[in-house]
Amino acid sequence: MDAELSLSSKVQSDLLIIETDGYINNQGGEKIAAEAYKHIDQGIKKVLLDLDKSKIVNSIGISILIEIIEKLDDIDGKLFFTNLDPTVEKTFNIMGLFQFADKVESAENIINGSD
Amino acid sequence: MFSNYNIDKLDFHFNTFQEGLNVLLSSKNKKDFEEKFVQFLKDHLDEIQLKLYYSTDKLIWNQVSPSDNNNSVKFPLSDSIQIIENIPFQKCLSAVIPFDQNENYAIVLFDKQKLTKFDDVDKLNLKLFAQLLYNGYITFQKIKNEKELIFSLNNRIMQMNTLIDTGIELARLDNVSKLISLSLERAVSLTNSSKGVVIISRNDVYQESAYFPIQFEFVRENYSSKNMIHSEINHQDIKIEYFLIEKESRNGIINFDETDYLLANAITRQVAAALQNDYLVHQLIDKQKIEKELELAAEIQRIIIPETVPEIEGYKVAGINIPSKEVGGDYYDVIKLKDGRYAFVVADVTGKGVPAALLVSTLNAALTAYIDQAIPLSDLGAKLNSIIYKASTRDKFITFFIAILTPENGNLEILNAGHNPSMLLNSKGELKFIEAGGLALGMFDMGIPFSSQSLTLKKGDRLLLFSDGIPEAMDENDEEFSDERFEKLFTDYTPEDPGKFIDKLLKQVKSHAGSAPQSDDITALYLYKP
Repeated sequence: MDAELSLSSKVQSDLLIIETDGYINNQGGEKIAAEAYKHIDQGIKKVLLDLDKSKIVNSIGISILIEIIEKLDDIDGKLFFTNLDPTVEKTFNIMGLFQFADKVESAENIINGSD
Repeated sequence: MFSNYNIDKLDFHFNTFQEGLNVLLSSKNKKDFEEKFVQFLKDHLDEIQLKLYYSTDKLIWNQVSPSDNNNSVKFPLSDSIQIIENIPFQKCLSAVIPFDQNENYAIVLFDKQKLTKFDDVDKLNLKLFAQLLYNGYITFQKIKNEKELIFSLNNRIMQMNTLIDTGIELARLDNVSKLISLSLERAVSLTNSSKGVVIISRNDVYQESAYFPIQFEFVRENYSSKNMIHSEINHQDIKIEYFLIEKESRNGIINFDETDYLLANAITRQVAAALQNDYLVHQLIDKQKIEKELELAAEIQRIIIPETVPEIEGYKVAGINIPSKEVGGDYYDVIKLKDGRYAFVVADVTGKGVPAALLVSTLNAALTAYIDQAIPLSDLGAKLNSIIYKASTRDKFITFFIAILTPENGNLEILNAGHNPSMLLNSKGELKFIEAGGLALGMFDMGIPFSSQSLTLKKGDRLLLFSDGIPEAMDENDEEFSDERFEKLFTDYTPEDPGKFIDKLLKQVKSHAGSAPQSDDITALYLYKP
């Protein structure tokens, strides 16, 4: 199957920012995880997922996001979310993601230390 | 007395065990668990090689660390942790750790360099690590199962919540494309489908499709009920089919289960309900539009149709018009002309509602414009015909009857354009039907001439102009009032008071109709020369 999710990433200060575009399913989740782990292995401990262009997430995608959260938690890192669609935010809430990850207004909030 | 050395040793073993447990419980999965265990052992056992084996049946043991699928060995059957020497090969020390029938581990230590033989301390240490593996794995599995259970429960809550929210969102949408798009996205994500397509057809003819997440080539025959969910909605003459393809899992494509079918069908039912609601709302809006149109048409009619008829010296006149619905197609009037004559008019437009009312309005305007020009009635008929023909659609025309009375001498000029014949009853009780001649107004515009006729009303003569809604009034059994009954009523009625006759006529028609709704407009104009 052709990949449906595309992403771009950049490191700003000590924060990895991943912007996604598309459906976060098994394949999309794996893509995000691969990108995150690549940088985590290089020492990154803070990851921000910008989901402005990803309005749909399935439970497989969520389970992969949970694994990213756990991996970051193991190294005293953290996963952040921004630009969440209200339905996605509600889903994350129910699935318990916000027990260990945070939602923020922007990357600046994290870089400036307010989150 | 227990020596400090022994206490220190016990303390060391306890701490090692606890440390090992912490390491093992941080494992992400089974492979990670095995790798962490092997590394922990290597960190605590100097100069010893080790291998870890795994068996699902206690018969065939595969080497999992270091991983080697080609190296399988055998161990003796055991129901508890067992320390054995020289199995599976010489100069090794092994621990067999059974969990249940389907899960068993074995640790093999070998190549001990300092000593040629494993001693009791080695055996004790191995037993400790075997116990560590046993306890660690049991706890790891319990935590894993607990996490999976929590995830599963949360997922169910999330599915139910999403279903509810989707229903609410769908009900708010008034755009069918958005409705289809949203429902497809939700159906795909809720069932963990890889992709989905909606195919819309009208009267079994393909119209359009929608895809999520991207367009793909869909060949229905390539899928079975295990890897495709099909759910269908039928609304009016439209069929909307949802196809959800290939359920995802972390381990690849799996079969859809019963819950997936329930979720998919729940979403399509929500779509069906939203479409039905939308349809009903549009119906209501259309109904309100129609009611407004009818109000407008009724207003037009009220302006055109007179509430009273003029008094004509030497004559008695009465009229009635009762539309069958809010707006009727009948028209009548008594127009006083400038030259002192009076025009009695009855007309019947095909159809009802605003179009009929507008056509009647056109007739009224044209009649008013030409009636005082003192042109022959046949020419008036031709002019009206041309105007109505141009103003109406192909299916619309007007039957028209006009009688122009010269009060001084009782002369009547009559033109009947396709209308039912009027009745003339003389003082001797002789009934005559006035046909006159001509097609209904607006049927053709080919210059077909209209012909009029003249007669004179004498003392005691009664003229009744009417629409076919009176003789054709239906009762509950679809039986008409009938021409005969109408004629008898007209001929039998004395004294000759037009107003009272109209009242009696109306009562009889209503009595005949009973509870049946009024089937057509009721119009009558009665002229009596006492």
